[in-house]
Amino acid sequence: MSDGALREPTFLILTALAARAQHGYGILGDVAAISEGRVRLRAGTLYAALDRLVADGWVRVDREEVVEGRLRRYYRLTDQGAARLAAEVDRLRAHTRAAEQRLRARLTGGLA
Amino acid sequence: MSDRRARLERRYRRLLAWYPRAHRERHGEEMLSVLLAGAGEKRWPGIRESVDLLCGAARVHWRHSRTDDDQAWVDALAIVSVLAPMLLLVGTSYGMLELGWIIAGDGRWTEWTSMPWWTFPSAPVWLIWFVVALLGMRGARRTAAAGAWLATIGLVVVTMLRPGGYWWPGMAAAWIPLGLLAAVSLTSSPGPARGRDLMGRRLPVMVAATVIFTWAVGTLGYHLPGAPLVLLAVQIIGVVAVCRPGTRPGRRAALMLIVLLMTTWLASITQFSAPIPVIVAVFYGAAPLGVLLVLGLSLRRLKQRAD
Repeated sequence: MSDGALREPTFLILTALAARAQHGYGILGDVAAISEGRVRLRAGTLYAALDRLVADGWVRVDREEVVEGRLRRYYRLTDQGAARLAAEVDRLRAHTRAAEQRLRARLTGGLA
Repeated sequence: MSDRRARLERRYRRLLAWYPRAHRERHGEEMLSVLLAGAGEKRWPGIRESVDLLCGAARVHWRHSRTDDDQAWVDALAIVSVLAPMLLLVGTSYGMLELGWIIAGDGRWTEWTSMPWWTFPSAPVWLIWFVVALLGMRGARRTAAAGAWLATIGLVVVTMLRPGGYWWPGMAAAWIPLGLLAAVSLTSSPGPARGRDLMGRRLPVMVAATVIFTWAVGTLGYHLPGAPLVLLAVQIIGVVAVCRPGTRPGRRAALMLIVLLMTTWLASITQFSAPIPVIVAVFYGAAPLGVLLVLGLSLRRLKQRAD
Protein backbone atom coordinates (compact mmCIF):
# COMPACT_ATOMS: atom_id res chain seq x y z
CA MET A 1 0.00 0.00 0.00
CA SER A 2 2.76 2.41 0.86
CA ASP A 3 4.43 2.05 -2.54
CA GLY A 4 1.43 2.10 -4.86
CA ALA A 5 -0.80 4.99 -5.82
CA LEU A 6 -3.40 6.03 -3.29
CA ARG A 7 -6.98 5.39 -4.23
CA GLU A 8 -9.05 8.51 -4.64
CA PRO A 9 -11.14 8.17 -1.45
CA THR A 10 -7.97 7.60 0.60
CA PHE A 11 -6.28 10.58 -1.02
CA LEU A 12 -9.26 12.80 -0.32
CA ILE A 13 -9.62 11.65 3.30
CA LEU A 14 -5.93 12.33 3.97
CA THR A 15 -6.28 15.71 2.29
CA ALA A 16 -9.31 16.54 4.42
CA LEU A 17 -7.28 15.80 7.55
CA ALA A 18 -4.09 17.54 6.38
CA ALA A 19 -4.80 20.96 7.84
CA ARG A 20 -6.80 20.12 10.95
CA ALA A 21 -8.42 17.36 12.96
CA GLN A 22 -11.97 16.53 11.85
CA HIS A 23 -14.80 14.23 12.89
CA GLY A 24 -16.43 11.72 10.57
CA TYR A 25 -19.28 13.89 9.35
CA GLY A 26 -16.85 16.79 8.85
CA ILE A 27 -14.60 14.60 6.71
CA LEU A 28 -17.54 13.59 4.50
CA GLY A 29 -18.44 17.23 3.93
CA ASP A 30 -14.85 18.28 3.34
CA VAL A 31 -14.25 15.50 0.82
CA ALA A 32 -17.28 16.67 -1.13
CA ALA A 33 -15.97 20.25 -0.99
CA ILE A 34 -12.41 19.32 -2.03
CA SER A 35 -13.67 17.31 -4.99
CA GLU A 36 -16.17 20.05 -5.85
CA GLY A 37 -19.05 17.67 -5.26
CA ARG A 38 -17.73 15.00 -7.62
CA VAL A 39 -16.91 12.51 -4.84
CA ARG A 40 -19.50 11.93 -2.13
CA LEU A 41 -18.21 9.41 0.37
CA ARG A 42 -20.64 7.52 2.56
CA ALA A 43 -20.16 6.30 6.10
CA GLY A 44 -19.39 2.69 5.14
CA THR A 45 -16.57 3.69 2.81
CA LEU A 46 -15.25 6.34 5.21
CA TYR A 47 -15.02 4.08 8.25
CA ALA A 48 -13.57 1.13 6.33
CA ALA A 49 -10.87 3.55 5.14
CA LEU A 50 -10.34 5.10 8.59
CA ASP A 51 -10.06 1.63 10.14
CA ARG A 52 -7.25 0.84 7.69
CA LEU A 53 -5.56 4.23 7.92
CA VAL A 54 -5.48 4.12 11.74
CA ALA A 55 -4.08 0.57 11.65
CA ASP A 56 -1.41 1.69 9.16
CA GLY A 57 -0.47 4.62 11.41
CA TRP A 58 -1.36 7.31 8.87
CA VAL A 59 -4.24 8.68 10.91
CA ARG A 60 -4.83 8.75 14.65
CA VAL A 61 -7.66 9.70 16.96
CA ASP A 62 -7.18 13.29 18.15
CA ARG A 63 -9.98 13.62 20.70
CA GLU A 64 -13.55 12.63 21.47
CA GLU A 65 -16.58 14.75 22.28
CA VAL A 66 -20.18 14.01 23.10
CA VAL A 67 -22.48 16.39 21.28
CA GLU A 68 -26.22 16.14 21.93
CA GLY A 69 -25.71 12.68 23.40
CA ARG A 70 -23.83 11.43 20.36
CA LEU A 71 -20.18 10.44 20.24
CA ARG A 72 -18.04 12.59 17.99
CA ARG A 73 -14.47 11.39 17.41
CA TYR A 74 -11.91 13.63 15.77
CA TYR A 75 -9.17 12.24 13.57
CA ARG A 76 -5.79 13.77 12.81
CA LEU A 77 -3.14 13.05 10.19
CA THR A 78 0.07 11.59 11.66
CA ASP A 79 3.56 12.57 10.47
CA GLN A 80 3.71 9.25 8.65
CA GLY A 81 0.39 9.97 6.98
CA ALA A 82 1.49 13.48 6.05
CA ALA A 83 4.69 12.10 4.49
CA ARG A 84 2.66 9.58 2.50
CA LEU A 85 0.26 12.27 1.29
CA ALA A 86 3.19 14.53 0.34
CA ALA A 87 4.76 11.66 -1.62
CA GLU A 88 1.47 11.11 -3.42
CA VAL A 89 1.20 14.83 -4.22
CA ASP A 90 4.75 14.73 -5.69
CA ARG A 91 3.85 11.70 -7.76
CA LEU A 92 0.66 13.29 -9.07
CA ARG A 93 2.50 16.55 -9.75
CA ALA A 94 5.15 14.72 -11.79
CA HIS A 95 2.44 12.93 -13.75
CA THR A 96 0.55 16.19 -14.29
CA ARG A 97 3.70 17.92 -15.48
CA ALA A 98 4.43 15.09 -17.90
CA ALA A 99 0.86 15.16 -19.15
CA GLU A 100 1.03 18.93 -19.70
CA GLN A 101 4.29 18.63 -21.62
CA ARG A 102 2.89 15.89 -23.85
CA LEU A 103 -0.25 17.86 -24.48
CA ARG A 104 1.79 20.95 -25.39
CA ALA A 105 3.93 18.85 -27.70
CA ARG A 106 0.80 17.39 -29.27
CA LEU A 107 -0.59 20.85 -29.77
CA THR A 108 2.69 22.07 -31.28
CA GLY A 109 2.96 19.01 -33.50
CA GLY A 110 -0.65 19.37 -34.54
CA LEU A 111 -0.16 22.92 -35.59
CA ALA A 112 3.01 22.14 -37.50
CA MET B 1 -36.25 11.45 20.10
CA SER B 2 -39.18 11.01 17.74
CA ASP B 3 -40.53 7.58 16.83
CA ARG B 4 -39.46 8.13 13.24
CA ARG B 5 -35.92 8.89 14.34
CA ALA B 6 -35.86 5.92 16.73
CA ARG B 7 -37.01 3.57 13.98
CA LEU B 8 -34.37 4.91 11.61
CA GLU B 9 -31.71 4.41 14.28
CA ARG B 10 -32.82 0.79 14.77
CA ARG B 11 -32.58 0.23 11.03
CA TYR B 12 -29.09 1.69 10.93
CA ARG B 13 -28.10 -0.47 13.90
CA ARG B 14 -29.28 -3.56 12.02
CA LEU B 15 -26.98 -2.65 9.15
CA LEU B 16 -24.09 -1.92 11.50
CA ALA B 17 -24.55 -5.37 13.05
CA TRP B 18 -22.84 -6.74 9.93
CA TYR B 19 -19.55 -5.21 11.03
CA PRO B 20 -17.05 -7.20 13.14
CA ARG B 21 -17.69 -6.94 16.86
CA ALA B 22 -14.37 -5.19 17.57
CA HIS B 23 -15.11 -2.59 14.89
CA ARG B 24 -18.62 -2.02 16.25
CA GLU B 25 -17.29 -1.56 19.77
CA ARG B 26 -14.83 1.01 18.48
CA HIS B 27 -16.78 2.83 15.80
CA GLY B 28 -20.42 1.72 16.09
CA GLU B 29 -21.84 4.71 17.99
CA GLU B 30 -19.67 7.10 16.04
CA MET B 31 -20.88 5.70 12.71
CA LEU B 32 -24.45 5.85 13.90
CA SER B 33 -23.93 9.48 14.82
CA VAL B 34 -22.60 10.26 11.33
CA LEU B 35 -25.41 8.32 9.64
CA LEU B 36 -28.11 10.10 11.63
CA ALA B 37 -26.47 13.48 11.10
CA GLY B 38 -26.71 12.97 7.35
CA ALA B 39 -30.14 11.33 7.39
CA GLY B 40 -32.25 14.49 7.15
CA GLU B 41 -35.93 13.53 7.05
CA LYS B 42 -35.30 9.99 5.87
CA ARG B 43 -37.36 7.15 7.34
CA TRP B 44 -35.30 4.33 5.91
CA PRO B 45 -31.59 3.99 5.06
CA GLY B 46 -31.21 4.58 1.32
CA ILE B 47 -30.33 1.69 -0.99
CA ARG B 48 -26.93 3.14 -1.89
CA GLU B 49 -26.23 3.87 1.74
CA SER B 50 -27.19 0.33 2.75
CA VAL B 51 -25.03 -1.18 0.02
CA ASP B 52 -22.16 1.08 1.06
CA LEU B 53 -22.47 -0.04 4.69
CA LEU B 54 -22.62 -3.72 3.73
CA CYS B 55 -19.63 -3.37 1.40
CA GLY B 56 -17.79 -1.49 4.17
CA ALA B 57 -18.58 -4.33 6.59
CA ALA B 58 -17.27 -6.88 4.09
CA ARG B 59 -14.06 -4.86 3.61
CA VAL B 60 -13.47 -4.54 7.34
CA HIS B 61 -14.18 -8.26 7.88
CA TRP B 62 -11.81 -9.13 5.06
CA ARG B 63 -9.07 -6.84 6.31
CA HIS B 64 -9.37 -8.05 9.88
CA SER B 65 -9.23 -11.69 8.84
CA ARG B 66 -6.40 -11.07 6.37
CA THR B 67 -4.19 -9.05 8.69
CA ASP B 68 -5.15 -11.01 11.81
CA ASP B 69 -6.21 -7.77 13.35
CA ASP B 70 -8.38 -9.49 15.89
CA GLN B 71 -5.95 -9.02 18.72
CA ALA B 72 -7.93 -11.27 21.02
CA TRP B 73 -7.20 -14.30 18.86
CA VAL B 74 -3.55 -13.35 18.50
CA ASP B 75 -3.27 -13.00 22.26
CA ALA B 76 -5.18 -16.24 22.82
CA LEU B 77 -2.65 -18.05 20.64
CA ALA B 78 0.19 -16.38 22.55
CA ILE B 79 -1.24 -17.82 25.79
CA VAL B 80 -1.63 -21.23 24.13
CA SER B 81 1.99 -21.06 22.95
CA VAL B 82 3.10 -21.08 26.58
CA LEU B 83 0.63 -23.56 28.00
CA ALA B 84 0.25 -26.18 25.27
CA PRO B 85 3.89 -27.43 25.33
CA MET B 86 3.77 -27.63 29.12
CA LEU B 87 0.45 -29.50 29.15
CA LEU B 88 1.81 -31.90 26.58
CA LEU B 89 4.24 -33.11 29.23
CA VAL B 90 1.26 -34.77 30.89
CA GLY B 91 1.30 -37.10 27.90
CA THR B 92 4.42 -38.81 29.23
CA SER B 93 2.44 -40.17 32.15
CA TYR B 94 0.84 -42.89 30.02
CA GLY B 95 4.20 -44.18 28.83
CA MET B 96 5.69 -43.92 32.30
CA LEU B 97 2.69 -45.81 33.66
CA GLU B 98 3.37 -48.66 31.25
CA LEU B 99 7.03 -48.71 32.18
CA GLY B 100 5.99 -48.83 35.81
CA TRP B 101 3.71 -51.82 35.17
CA ILE B 102 6.47 -53.72 33.42
CA ILE B 103 8.90 -53.04 36.20
CA ALA B 104 6.39 -53.78 38.89
CA GLY B 105 5.30 -56.96 37.11
CA ASP B 106 8.81 -58.33 36.89
CA GLY B 107 9.84 -56.90 40.20
CA ARG B 108 13.34 -56.34 38.94
CA TRP B 109 14.83 -53.00 38.14
CA THR B 110 17.39 -54.73 35.93
CA GLU B 111 14.57 -55.16 33.40
CA TRP B 112 15.24 -51.56 32.33
CA THR B 113 18.29 -52.71 30.42
CA SER B 114 16.70 -55.69 28.69
CA MET B 115 13.40 -53.97 27.94
CA PRO B 116 12.59 -53.65 24.19
CA TRP B 117 12.85 -50.07 22.94
CA TRP B 118 9.32 -50.08 21.59
CA THR B 119 7.82 -50.41 25.04
CA PHE B 120 7.77 -46.64 25.10
CA PRO B 121 8.49 -45.72 21.46
CA SER B 122 7.31 -42.14 21.78
CA ALA B 123 9.84 -41.38 24.54
CA PRO B 124 12.11 -39.29 22.23
CA VAL B 125 9.08 -37.26 21.14
CA TRP B 126 8.17 -36.41 24.73
CA LEU B 127 11.76 -35.46 25.35
CA ILE B 128 11.48 -32.96 22.49
CA TRP B 129 8.27 -31.56 24.02
CA PHE B 130 10.12 -31.11 27.30
CA VAL B 131 12.81 -29.10 25.48
CA VAL B 132 10.11 -27.13 23.61
CA ALA B 133 8.42 -26.23 26.91
CA LEU B 134 11.73 -25.04 28.35
CA LEU B 135 12.59 -23.04 25.22
CA GLY B 136 9.14 -21.48 25.30
CA MET B 137 9.58 -20.40 28.91
CA ARG B 138 12.93 -18.86 28.00
CA GLY B 139 11.34 -16.95 25.13
CA ALA B 140 13.10 -18.75 22.26
CA ARG B 141 9.96 -18.79 20.12
CA ARG B 142 11.39 -19.80 16.74
CA THR B 143 13.48 -22.68 18.05
CA ALA B 144 10.56 -23.82 20.18
CA ALA B 145 8.27 -23.66 17.11
CA ALA B 146 10.68 -25.77 15.06
CA GLY B 147 10.86 -28.28 17.91
CA ALA B 148 7.07 -28.33 18.24
CA TRP B 149 6.60 -29.15 14.55
CA LEU B 150 9.25 -31.88 14.81
CA ALA B 151 7.59 -33.36 17.88
CA THR B 152 4.12 -33.20 16.30
CA ILE B 153 5.42 -35.03 13.23
CA GLY B 154 7.00 -37.49 15.65
CA LEU B 155 3.62 -38.15 17.27
CA VAL B 156 2.05 -38.73 13.83
CA VAL B 157 4.86 -41.08 12.78
CA VAL B 158 4.59 -43.13 15.98
CA THR B 159 0.81 -43.33 15.52
CA MET B 160 1.03 -44.39 11.89
CA LEU B 161 3.90 -46.84 12.21
CA ARG B 162 2.74 -48.13 15.56
CA PRO B 163 5.88 -50.03 16.52
CA GLY B 164 5.30 -53.55 17.85
CA GLY B 165 4.29 -53.70 21.47
CA TYR B 166 2.69 -50.29 21.46
CA TRP B 167 -0.43 -51.47 23.24
CA TRP B 168 -2.56 -48.41 22.68
CA PRO B 169 -1.95 -46.01 19.78
CA GLY B 170 -3.94 -43.30 21.56
CA MET B 171 -0.91 -42.77 23.81
CA ALA B 172 0.57 -40.75 20.97
CA ALA B 173 -2.44 -40.11 18.71
CA ALA B 174 -4.58 -38.41 21.35
CA TRP B 175 -1.93 -35.73 21.81
CA ILE B 176 -1.53 -34.89 18.11
CA PRO B 177 -4.22 -32.14 18.08
CA LEU B 178 -2.71 -30.45 21.15
CA GLY B 179 0.75 -30.81 19.59
CA LEU B 180 -0.52 -29.27 16.38
CA LEU B 181 -2.08 -26.38 18.30
CA ALA B 182 1.20 -25.85 20.18
CA ALA B 183 3.15 -25.77 16.91
CA VAL B 184 0.68 -23.42 15.20
CA SER B 185 0.55 -21.06 18.19
CA LEU B 186 4.33 -20.91 18.51
CA THR B 187 4.64 -20.24 14.77
CA SER B 188 1.87 -17.72 14.22
CA SER B 189 1.53 -15.80 17.48
CA PRO B 190 3.80 -13.23 19.14
CA GLY B 191 4.93 -16.17 21.26
CA PRO B 192 5.39 -17.21 24.87
CA ALA B 193 6.87 -13.85 25.97
CA ARG B 194 3.60 -12.13 25.12
CA GLY B 195 1.65 -15.04 26.61
CA ARG B 196 3.51 -14.72 29.93
CA ASP B 197 2.78 -10.98 30.00
CA LEU B 198 -0.91 -11.70 29.55
CA MET B 199 -1.06 -14.36 32.24
CA GLY B 200 0.99 -12.71 34.95
CA ARG B 201 3.78 -13.85 37.20
CA ARG B 202 1.97 -16.73 38.88
CA LEU B 203 1.99 -18.66 35.64
CA PRO B 204 5.12 -20.86 35.95
CA VAL B 205 4.27 -22.03 39.48
CA MET B 206 0.63 -22.76 38.68
CA VAL B 207 1.33 -24.58 35.44
CA ALA B 208 4.18 -26.57 36.98
CA ALA B 209 1.91 -27.54 39.90
CA THR B 210 -0.85 -28.62 37.50
CA VAL B 211 1.49 -30.66 35.32
CA ILE B 212 3.34 -32.29 38.24
CA PHE B 213 0.12 -33.16 40.06
CA THR B 214 -1.46 -34.56 36.89
CA TRP B 215 1.67 -36.48 36.07
CA ALA B 216 1.84 -37.93 39.58
CA VAL B 217 -1.81 -39.04 39.52
CA GLY B 218 -1.38 -40.37 35.97
CA THR B 219 1.54 -42.61 36.95
CA LEU B 220 1.49 -43.37 40.66
CA GLY B 221 -2.19 -43.08 41.39
CA TYR B 222 -3.86 -44.19 38.20
CA HIS B 223 -5.26 -47.34 39.79
CA LEU B 224 -7.13 -45.31 42.41
CA PRO B 225 -10.90 -45.01 41.95
CA GLY B 226 -11.90 -41.81 40.21
CA ALA B 227 -8.32 -41.02 39.21
CA PRO B 228 -9.14 -40.22 35.53
CA LEU B 229 -11.84 -37.80 36.60
CA VAL B 230 -9.49 -36.14 39.09
CA LEU B 231 -6.93 -35.84 36.31
CA LEU B 232 -9.36 -34.06 34.03
CA ALA B 233 -10.63 -31.79 36.80
CA VAL B 234 -7.12 -30.75 37.83
CA GLN B 235 -6.15 -30.01 34.24
CA ILE B 236 -9.28 -27.96 33.57
CA ILE B 237 -9.03 -26.01 36.83
CA GLY B 238 -5.32 -25.41 36.23
CA VAL B 239 -5.89 -24.17 32.68
CA VAL B 240 -8.79 -21.92 33.64
CA ALA B 241 -6.83 -20.50 36.59
CA VAL B 242 -3.76 -19.54 34.58
CA CYS B 243 -5.60 -18.32 31.48
CA ARG B 244 -7.29 -15.41 33.29
CA PRO B 245 -10.83 -16.22 32.10
CA GLY B 246 -11.97 -12.66 32.78
CA THR B 247 -10.29 -11.63 29.54
CA ARG B 248 -11.42 -12.53 26.03
CA PRO B 249 -8.02 -13.95 24.97
CA GLY B 250 -7.89 -15.95 28.20
CA ARG B 251 -11.33 -17.46 27.60
CA ARG B 252 -10.47 -18.39 24.03
CA ALA B 253 -7.16 -19.95 25.01
CA ALA B 254 -8.81 -21.91 27.84
CA LEU B 255 -11.57 -23.15 25.50
CA MET B 256 -9.11 -24.42 22.91
CA LEU B 257 -6.91 -26.12 25.49
CA ILE B 258 -9.77 -27.70 27.43
CA VAL B 259 -11.36 -29.20 24.30
CA LEU B 260 -8.06 -30.76 23.33
CA LEU B 261 -7.30 -31.94 26.88
CA MET B 262 -10.75 -33.56 26.99
CA THR B 263 -9.80 -35.43 23.85
CA THR B 264 -6.85 -36.97 25.63
CA TRP B 265 -9.02 -37.75 28.62
CA LEU B 266 -11.73 -39.37 26.51
CA ALA B 267 -9.04 -41.29 24.72
CA SER B 268 -7.73 -42.65 28.01
CA ILE B 269 -11.28 -43.65 29.02
CA THR B 270 -12.32 -45.28 25.75
CA GLN B 271 -8.86 -46.43 24.71
CA PHE B 272 -10.09 -46.44 21.13
CA SER B 273 -8.00 -48.45 18.76
CA ALA B 274 -8.34 -49.75 15.21
CA PRO B 275 -6.35 -52.08 12.98
CA ILE B 276 -5.80 -49.32 10.42
CA PRO B 277 -3.61 -46.50 11.80
CA VAL B 278 -5.28 -43.87 9.60
CA ILE B 279 -8.60 -44.51 11.36
CA VAL B 280 -6.90 -43.99 14.71
CA ALA B 281 -5.33 -40.73 13.52
CA VAL B 282 -8.63 -39.48 12.09
CA PHE B 283 -10.50 -40.44 15.27
CA TYR B 284 -8.15 -38.58 17.55
CA GLY B 285 -7.47 -35.74 15.13
CA ALA B 286 -10.75 -35.01 13.36
CA ALA B 287 -13.02 -35.35 16.39
CA PRO B 288 -11.53 -32.54 18.51
CA LEU B 289 -11.05 -30.28 15.50
CA GLY B 290 -14.71 -30.87 14.62
CA VAL B 291 -15.74 -30.06 18.20
CA LEU B 292 -13.68 -26.85 18.09
CA LEU B 293 -15.26 -25.88 14.78
CA VAL B 294 -18.80 -26.55 16.00
CA LEU B 295 -18.11 -24.70 19.26
CA GLY B 296 -16.64 -21.75 17.38
CA LEU B 297 -19.60 -21.51 15.00
CA SER B 298 -22.12 -21.91 17.83
CA LEU B 299 -20.47 -19.20 19.94
CA ARG B 300 -20.40 -16.92 16.91
CA ARG B 301 -24.12 -17.38 16.35
CA LEU B 302 -24.88 -16.84 20.02
CA LYS B 303 -22.85 -13.64 20.00
CA GLN B 304 -24.58 -12.38 16.88
CA ARG B 305 -27.97 -13.03 18.50
CA ALA B 306 -26.86 -11.34 21.70
CA ASP B 307 -25.63 -8.31 19.76
